[in-house]
Amino acid sequence: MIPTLAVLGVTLATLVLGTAGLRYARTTSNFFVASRAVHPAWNAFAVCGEAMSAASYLGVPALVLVFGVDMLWTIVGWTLGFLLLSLFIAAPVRRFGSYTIPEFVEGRLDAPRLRPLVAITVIVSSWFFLLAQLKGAGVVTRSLLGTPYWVGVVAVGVLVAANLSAGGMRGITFVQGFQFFFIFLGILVPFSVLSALWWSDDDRDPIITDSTPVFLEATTATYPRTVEIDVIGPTAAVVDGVVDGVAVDGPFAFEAGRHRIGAATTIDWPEGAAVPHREGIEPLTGEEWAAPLGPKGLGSGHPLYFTYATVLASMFGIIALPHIVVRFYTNPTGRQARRTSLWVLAMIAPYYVMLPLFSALGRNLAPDLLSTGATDAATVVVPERAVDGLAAELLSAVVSAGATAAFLSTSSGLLIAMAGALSHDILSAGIPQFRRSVWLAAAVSIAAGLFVETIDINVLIGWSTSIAASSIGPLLVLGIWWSGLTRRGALATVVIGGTVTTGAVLITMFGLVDSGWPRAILSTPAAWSVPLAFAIGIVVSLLDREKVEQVAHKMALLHVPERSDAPKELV
Amino acid sequence: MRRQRRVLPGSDSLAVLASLNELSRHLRQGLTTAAARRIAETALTMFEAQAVAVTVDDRIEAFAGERLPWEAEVATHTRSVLDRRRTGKPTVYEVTIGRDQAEVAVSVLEGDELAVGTIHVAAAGGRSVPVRELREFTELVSTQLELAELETSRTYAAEAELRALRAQISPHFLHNSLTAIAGLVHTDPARARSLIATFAGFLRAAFRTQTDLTTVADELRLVEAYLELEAVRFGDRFVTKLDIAPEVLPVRLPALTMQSLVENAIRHGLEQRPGHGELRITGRDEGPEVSIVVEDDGVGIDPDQLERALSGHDTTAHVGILATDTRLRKSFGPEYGLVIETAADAGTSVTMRLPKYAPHPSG
Repeated sequence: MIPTLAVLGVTLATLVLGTAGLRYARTTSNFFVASRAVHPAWNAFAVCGEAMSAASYLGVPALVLVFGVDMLWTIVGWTLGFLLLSLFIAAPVRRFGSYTIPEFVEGRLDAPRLRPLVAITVIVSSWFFLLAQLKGAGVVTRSLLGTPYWVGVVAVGVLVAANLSAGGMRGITFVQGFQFFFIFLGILVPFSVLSALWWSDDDRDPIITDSTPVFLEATTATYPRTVEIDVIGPTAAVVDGVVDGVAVDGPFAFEAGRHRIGAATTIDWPEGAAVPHREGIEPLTGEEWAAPLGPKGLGSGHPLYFTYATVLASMFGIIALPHIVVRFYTNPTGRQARRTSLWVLAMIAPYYVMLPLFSALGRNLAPDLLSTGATDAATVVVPERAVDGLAAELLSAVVSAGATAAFLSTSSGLLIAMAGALSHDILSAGIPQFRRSVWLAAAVSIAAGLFVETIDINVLIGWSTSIAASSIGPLLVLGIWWSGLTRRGALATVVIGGTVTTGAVLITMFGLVDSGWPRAILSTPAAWSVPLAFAIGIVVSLLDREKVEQVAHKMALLHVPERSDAPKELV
Repeated sequence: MRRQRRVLPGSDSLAVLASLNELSRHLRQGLTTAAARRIAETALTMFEAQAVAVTVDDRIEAFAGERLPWEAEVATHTRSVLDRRRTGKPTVYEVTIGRDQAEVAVSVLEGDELAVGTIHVAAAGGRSVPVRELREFTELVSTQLELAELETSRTYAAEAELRALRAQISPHFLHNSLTAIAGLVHTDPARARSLIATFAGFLRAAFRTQTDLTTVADELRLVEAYLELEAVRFGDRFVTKLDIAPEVLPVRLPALTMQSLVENAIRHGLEQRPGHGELRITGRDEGPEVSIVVEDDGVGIDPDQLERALSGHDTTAHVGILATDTRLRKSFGPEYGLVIETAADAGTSVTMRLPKYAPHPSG
């Protein structure tokens, strides 16, 4: 009850604040307040509100829970991405004055015809990212209210689109900044409680063991959809539902081996039983789980390659995410934009550091997730398992409110960016088009969101960032820092970088390669596709004889600091 | 000797059109070095000439084709045709290259009735020069140059308009403000002093000339100073409400646009209204654009009269709005005009949309 109220409260507050929560001045004496730029710190809250999405809030704990500590490279890569943004991207892009990435490309290269192409690439990578958010919405509402998966997807998609098209995000900086606090508290509070409990507990259960996860107490697992599980040894359990195609209601003796569990089945697993992992999730002993570059690890047996690929994809993917770059526009100067990005680093780094705790404790507190496959719910499930009664309700409320804020803010930001690109860069400008684009983008995303239930959030994010990192990312870096980039160079980077990564993603998706180097190279392409995209952009530009005109003027716009005699209030 | 007319083969017509199209884009900036080079290259391929030279006035600006030892001849004949004002039909002269003679046709480029340069086309080995084609080509380039000239004068006109607009706020408002301050000098010297400071600040901002575009944040400060000065005369006859999303503040707009909308709301709405009124300025984030609304609950404007004013038939009232509308369209494109909602006794609301990013005008 309390968690449900918390979720509704956050949603309602978002709607109210979006329409009515602007700064307001009644008299001329308050003009000064109303016309003063937002402080870099507050703007950083807004950026964090956008950046702390379902991908990190729900995705990272799930990922680390399933695959072990190697997955921490994802958040290392994201943090590096924000560093890159801070050092090399935020200030020049702000000085240039462009609002979106397609606008930047058009202005920097005098290439109006490149604009739609870049816009399409932006839309595609945002779309995968938005799907991840909608999936998060479906998972959280399901684990909270017990509703079917599609309810959360449709509800959040429609809500966000309706809010946007009614003009409900007209002061988005405040709404996002406000949501940041919920997201941050949603992680900080359970983190503090869980770690306090952990340290004060004298006979705590060890995490780094030499066995695969076991149920430390009798656990009821609900299987929301049909899955196959691998039972390790003969186990006696109580089943209500369907096992191997046969309806069962009562005790059932599982033999070792693979079993098919029907949708909506509940199984009471006894204390001490080894957790039967869902097909596709490799059972890891505590030691294997906690060892970097583990032998059972990722990248199809090439963990070091996997590490580089993950870091590169996350890093160059972050700078190319359209909803994050646009937030720096609210800073009046490049200098302020850089300050904002420093604040972002200071706030997002501790947030990332707290996330893996949910995975570590999850191995003991919520191992059933490894069996049902609903690992994306780990962040929400783990805290309420650690305590009892009212405390559990309250913790769950805090976490759920944070998760709601996470996917609401990021979905809004992505939908704005996608609709903006559709109406502004591809169709012609105008408000009616913007509304129509919001609904178009939302409808396509909701429809696709219904089908991604079985795909992990971070797989979606991985695709999104790989594509962006191999096309838009290099384009931004080269465009800002190299005066020699030409229109054909940019075109080659986006087309070739984008196509080979999308191709690699599709090949993996349809399971055309299944092991060894081919799979490692295609499933995590960033380690070669990012350098390739850079190289192609540079080589084609060098060969291209049609240079961009007035390039010195453009580089000056990007890099010369604003006049220092600007009015004091703005500095 | 009978000149053979050379007809351009049909398969090449697309290439020719494309190169002409490209050429006219270059000519948008006038007869620059880059444009001169482009003229020379286009003429070279189009006439299959041996070499082409283009001069701006009598200065040789671009060569294309073979590097002929003909600078001296080009210079001489350029001066000769320019001095004799030989516009229209090209003049033909000959140059000696080694032992060969080549025919050269020279024609004069005009921009806005003035000779601005020349094109010299040297025919390839033994062929005769395409005099008639060169004449047509020269006229096409001249027309483009004239258009570029027109564009420049339009920019000058816009600048003049801005100056006029700045001049326009002054007499009315300067007089009112100064008399109001004068009235306070004895009764409330402290307020008078602070108002003079505000007044100075307003003037400085209003007459800042180096940039045409300013930010919404700066413009709001200007409006603040303006309202403070108006408040001396109006006292508390109207209140101002401001509701601005922070995303709107860094957006760029032509200087004095908001100020003129606010002035319009006071002059034509609130001033003539009995009792207390309200002025409201709202700024909203709309993705790639922002909207700014200035509304008052004053006497409103009769739509027919407004339409006459906006179509330029009635030049007595609402010149401020008309000028603002023109400047916004000029800065951002025709779709960014003002939207005015009003009726007699129903107040007025003026909405302007601004793009967050307008490509930097080149040049």
